[in-house]
Amino acid sequence: MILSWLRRGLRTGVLTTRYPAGCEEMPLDFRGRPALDADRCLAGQGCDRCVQACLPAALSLTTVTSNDPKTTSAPQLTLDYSRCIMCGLCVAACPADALHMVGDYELASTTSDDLRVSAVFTQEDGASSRDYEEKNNGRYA
Amino acid sequence: MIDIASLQSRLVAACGEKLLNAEQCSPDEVVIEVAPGALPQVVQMLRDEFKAVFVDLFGLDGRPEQQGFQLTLVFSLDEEESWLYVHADLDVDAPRFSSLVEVLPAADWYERVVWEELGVTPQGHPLLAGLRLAPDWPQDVYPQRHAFRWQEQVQGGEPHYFELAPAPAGIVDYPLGPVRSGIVESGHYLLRTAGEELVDMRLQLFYKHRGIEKRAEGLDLEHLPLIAERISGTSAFAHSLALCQALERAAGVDAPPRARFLRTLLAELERLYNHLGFQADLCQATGLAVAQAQFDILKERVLRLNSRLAGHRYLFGMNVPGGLSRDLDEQALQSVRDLIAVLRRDMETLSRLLLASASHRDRLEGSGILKPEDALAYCAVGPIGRASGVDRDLRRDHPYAAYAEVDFAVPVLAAGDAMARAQIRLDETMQSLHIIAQVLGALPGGAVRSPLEQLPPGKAAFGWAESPRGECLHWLLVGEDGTLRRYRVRTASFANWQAFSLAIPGHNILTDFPVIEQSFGLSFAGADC
Repeated sequence: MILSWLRRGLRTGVLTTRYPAGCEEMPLDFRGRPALDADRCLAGQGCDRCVQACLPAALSLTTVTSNDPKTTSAPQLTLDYSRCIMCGLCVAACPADALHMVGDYELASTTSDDLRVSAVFTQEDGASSRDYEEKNNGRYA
Repeated sequence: MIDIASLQSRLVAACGEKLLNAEQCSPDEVVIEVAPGALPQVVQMLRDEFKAVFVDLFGLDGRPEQQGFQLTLVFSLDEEESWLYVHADLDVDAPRFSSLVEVLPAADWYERVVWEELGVTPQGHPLLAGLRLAPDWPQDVYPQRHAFRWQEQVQGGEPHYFELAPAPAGIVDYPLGPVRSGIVESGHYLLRTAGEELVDMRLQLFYKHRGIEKRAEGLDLEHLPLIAERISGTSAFAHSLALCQALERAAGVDAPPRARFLRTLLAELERLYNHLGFQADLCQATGLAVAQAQFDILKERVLRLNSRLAGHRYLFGMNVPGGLSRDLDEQALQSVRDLIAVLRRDMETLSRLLLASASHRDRLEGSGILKPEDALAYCAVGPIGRASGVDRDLRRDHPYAAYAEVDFAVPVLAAGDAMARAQIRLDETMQSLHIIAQVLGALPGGAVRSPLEQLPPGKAAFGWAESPRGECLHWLLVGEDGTLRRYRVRTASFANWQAFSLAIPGHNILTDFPVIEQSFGLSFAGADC
């Protein structure tokens, strides 16, 4: 019997992958993290549909308090990946197609701040944001 | 269909004036209202004369709209494909009832939960101690009462622990857990040994209490499945299915035929990866490394298929009230077909090899015997019950989704040992493949979601599903604002952990324990929502 198992094991060969050295391909519509496209987002015009749809309060809409007259009291949409449960309800709720689920599932980080991305909406400059990828550039490259 | 006239006459004979009402409220549901004093007689009569199987006991705080507390017992009438609810209104100032543990041993933990979380006293209970809440939870704060809000910050009080009497001379207490090697969840066993032999065991579970039932109160409809999925990740689909079916029953909405068939397919995929993972873990416990790897490979294949179908390896986000959140296209269905063919071929070989491996069988046969009478008394469910002669399966006895339209067998064994529990899961794996093949062949077209906008206020509904670990039951009551006023979940593991303790003393040695524990395959988080 041991021989049968041995034969079976040898025939199977090596199936383990080289992850994390090699990339793991995810299916096309795999729900990794949600990504925010600030240019399309209507939070600057008072929309908070995604915030309403978010059960764990990973999305929040606040106003900036800073000394810079350009940004102070501007609406700010913050997405906190440490609270996100990747359910995708915000994507379904977004009327402007500004949120998408992307395949990126590697969200480990050394600081909780790295897991928070936000977009600020000012009257003059429009939306300005930092995405997760930009913030953590090259970490897994 | 239940014979309501005969039930009424038997109830009158059993409890006379204490019977307040008995009526059929839907084709498969009967409601009985009795005075609390008549509960023991009613329970005994239902069990002896109607073969009613106890499945749940919970309490409801009806204030302020109604006066006081209500106790509900739920029974399954498998032959009639019906559910039977026994309601008893309790006194508002001193809510109590006579403990049912003597006539219904399985009620033990359920009564402790009602006592601890609702403040209703089961008088005469043999061991009235806290069960699910933290040891320092204050004794006068009852989280299941309606006025309690989940956001409340509760100040911890004096911790109260239940201590076993010290072991007599010659007996050694062997503590195991709550933190152990590997990725086992938190749970503490105190194994009492006389030499090598296990003579007793005490369980300390419930390190994962999250108050899910309370959290669901007042939530939007679309958020409810998110809550149910998180009761136990490995039974996420079954739990969200049970919840969504309860919501659909409450609203009087039927999921479209295609959604019913796809739900059946996905529920069986969940069973597949669980049962494959179970065999892998059992092989690990018996030291069969190659077999473990082989089963883990198959499990991983199913998980990858899941992520392709649902965008999530554990099928989160698929069930929504009214159907499914997404349809499966022909390409996805073809990938299911391909994997089923591979699994069928591999499972035939692996089952044959596994059952012929003497080292594996030696560890399993005669280990951790759960006697059929104990399984019956403690109402064991799922593969564990079926390995001890309890011939019940919700898919067959209370068909839901598309289970009435597919053909499958329910394997039942009477031995009750670890081998029987392993064998049942091997057989069920083959049955799952058979069911999936039928679903793929008969899949209707059309939409996968019916609109379900709101729930009728005041409506109560029951939903159920046979999860890979056994039946999970979700009961809900809709409040005046159309959100849940009370949500009750009875998981399969909660029912089975009580029976687990009975399989340990008397005939096992200490080194059998990992194998027995694995052969039950119980979930810690799943028992403790």
